[in-house]
Amino acid sequence: MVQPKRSKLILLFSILSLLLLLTNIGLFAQEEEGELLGEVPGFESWADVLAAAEGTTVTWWMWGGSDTINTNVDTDIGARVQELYGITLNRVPNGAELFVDQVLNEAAAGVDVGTIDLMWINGENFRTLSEAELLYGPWSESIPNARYVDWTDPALAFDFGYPVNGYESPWGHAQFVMEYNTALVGEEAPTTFEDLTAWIEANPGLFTYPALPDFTGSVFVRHVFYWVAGGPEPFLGEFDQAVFDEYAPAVWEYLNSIEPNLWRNGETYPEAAIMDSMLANQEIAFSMGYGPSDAATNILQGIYPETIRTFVFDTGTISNNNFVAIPFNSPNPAGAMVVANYILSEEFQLKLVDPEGWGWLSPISPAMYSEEFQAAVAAMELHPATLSPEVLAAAALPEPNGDWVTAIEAGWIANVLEK
Amino acid sequence: MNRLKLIEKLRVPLMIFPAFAIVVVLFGGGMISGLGQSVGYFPVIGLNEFTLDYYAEVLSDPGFLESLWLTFRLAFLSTLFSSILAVLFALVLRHSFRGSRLLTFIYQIPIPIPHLVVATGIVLLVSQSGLLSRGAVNLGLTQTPRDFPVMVFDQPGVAIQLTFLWKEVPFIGIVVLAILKSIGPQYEEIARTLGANSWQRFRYILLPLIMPGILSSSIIVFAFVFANYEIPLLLGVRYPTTLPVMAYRSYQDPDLGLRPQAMAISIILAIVAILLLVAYRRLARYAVKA
Repeated sequence: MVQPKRSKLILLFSILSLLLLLTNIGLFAQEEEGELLGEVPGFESWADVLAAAEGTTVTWWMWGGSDTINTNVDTDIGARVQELYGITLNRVPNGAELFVDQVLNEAAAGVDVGTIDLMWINGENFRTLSEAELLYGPWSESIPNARYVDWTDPALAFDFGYPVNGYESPWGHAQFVMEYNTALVGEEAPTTFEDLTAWIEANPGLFTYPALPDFTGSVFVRHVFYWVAGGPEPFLGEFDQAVFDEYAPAVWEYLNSIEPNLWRNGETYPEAAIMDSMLANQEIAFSMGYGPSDAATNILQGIYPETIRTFVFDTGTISNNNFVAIPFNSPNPAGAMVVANYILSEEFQLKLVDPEGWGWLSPISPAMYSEEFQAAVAAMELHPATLSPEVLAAAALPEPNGDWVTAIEAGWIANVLEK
Repeated sequence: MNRLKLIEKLRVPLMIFPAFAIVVVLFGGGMISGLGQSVGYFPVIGLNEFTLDYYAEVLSDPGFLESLWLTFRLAFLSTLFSSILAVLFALVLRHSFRGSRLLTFIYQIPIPIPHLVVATGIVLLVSQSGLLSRGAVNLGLTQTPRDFPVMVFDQPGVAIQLTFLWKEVPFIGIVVLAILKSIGPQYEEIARTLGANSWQRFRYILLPLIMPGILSSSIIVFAFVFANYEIPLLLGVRYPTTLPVMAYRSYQDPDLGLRPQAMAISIILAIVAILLLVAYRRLARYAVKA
């Protein structure tokens, strides 16, 4: 009885290995490979880039705080670039500020062949590395799938007000939403700061936000600035100390006024990473974040109770794009560009926007992709805890210029945390 | 003959060299580049001018002295209580009794567990959203997780102190226990025949014998706690916090302009630690002689 089973297994195994081998040598690669749209440093054509990338390893440093994202990256990107281009994706989960350190330290030590090929970075860190001239490029406007990217959109041409100029490629879109527990708050969410304040005063101890400079806490406080100033406009240009001084005192006064009614009486502020479990356990009634469908994902995974819903403020919420960049001393810029190109492909972006997949927003307008893509998107069903893309788009507000963010974070620490 | 002498002379330096080289290259290199950045030498972001402004900035920050005091208090109390508890445990565990080997084994379990793991475990266990709190709700002991007593992210830092005790008591204890076991019972028996009571036997016989062990292991504990950042970072309040956390936060800030300040804090931390350790050694020598 055992013998035939084993031989079948061996046969199956051989077929599988053969298949793997075939895919590895590129026989099954069918994606249209495209052409470079412009120049990239060090390569003549996209075929050159692909040839240089084949069989290599791409080391991608990215924020590793979400198990879902980590798994999704491995299956939807890592496995696919292996099949399509023979690239092994080595995902290094880390905090974004560590990438900056790593690149800086390598630069200071004169290391020309570094350890990072691709980085998922945000505005402040991008600016830091740009200003120190530690990025490879320009490349992002030249890769084949950059044809989908609307570089005239200020949200894509600028990352926190800092010009992208071909040094960063977008791959996802994020928008701030508030999460709340209907079991504690009721069905009607307080969608204005006035209502939210009233709720906090009536229900002490159930609201908090992560301590700045955490990026979630930071974006929450930016919303308070927009609210105090009546809109984002004053903060979109270059940093202006006079404008900052005009609005900041009112913001600090407001945040200090709600402090006694916050979680732990405002004695301390939590790390963003533990707010999920605090919300799930009714230690707090609200959480917040840049992922409009995170709440739905957490409900489906059993982390959140069914009673969690999300809302955006009537005055709007801040949205931005997720970018990838390549450090100046990447040992494999070709592989990094191939991965950056793949994550702009129709195939991947469809998984990205699928509520049952990544559940993110796309940085690309669906009209740029095929009709099948648009039909597939139209057929997707939203979880009740996720707001529709239309509601989100209508509420979307731009990020302020990066210098404002730095000033706001330092100001909060001095005027709210340490007061 | 001469050659042999030379080799004999070089033997000790040669044996020390590998360890010494690692310390000098890795530790010394880091210290020097940190020192450079703290006085304004950071060419990557265009700083080349020597300045002591960063030290002035750090030292004039009212939060700094508060942090320094907090850090010192934490290190001092952790060392004091760990030493006392360690001696008490060692005095019990040195005797052979039913289950003493098992007890000694359990007592030593915390030693190989990393501080980071302990801290994470404590959060998962005793925070208001932790396992115990959820258990209490399910058993009907508390109504909501918020009713559970506050032990982490609190101003007094209860969990921080307890974590250090849990880790350091067995560390000092294992040293003291080894000495106590090697001493054997003879001295005490002689003292007993001479009429010394149990306090006198401890005070005049055992304590002087174990004192060098306590001092050398507690000095490590003090230096360690003084420079530890992960425990106060994970279990403490955001503000006020200890100096290592303060340095780490400035270091992590995306604004590289804060880097020299982070380095200035670290250098001050190192200097204070070295001064305290020198003072401690002086005192220790005095204590052993007395």
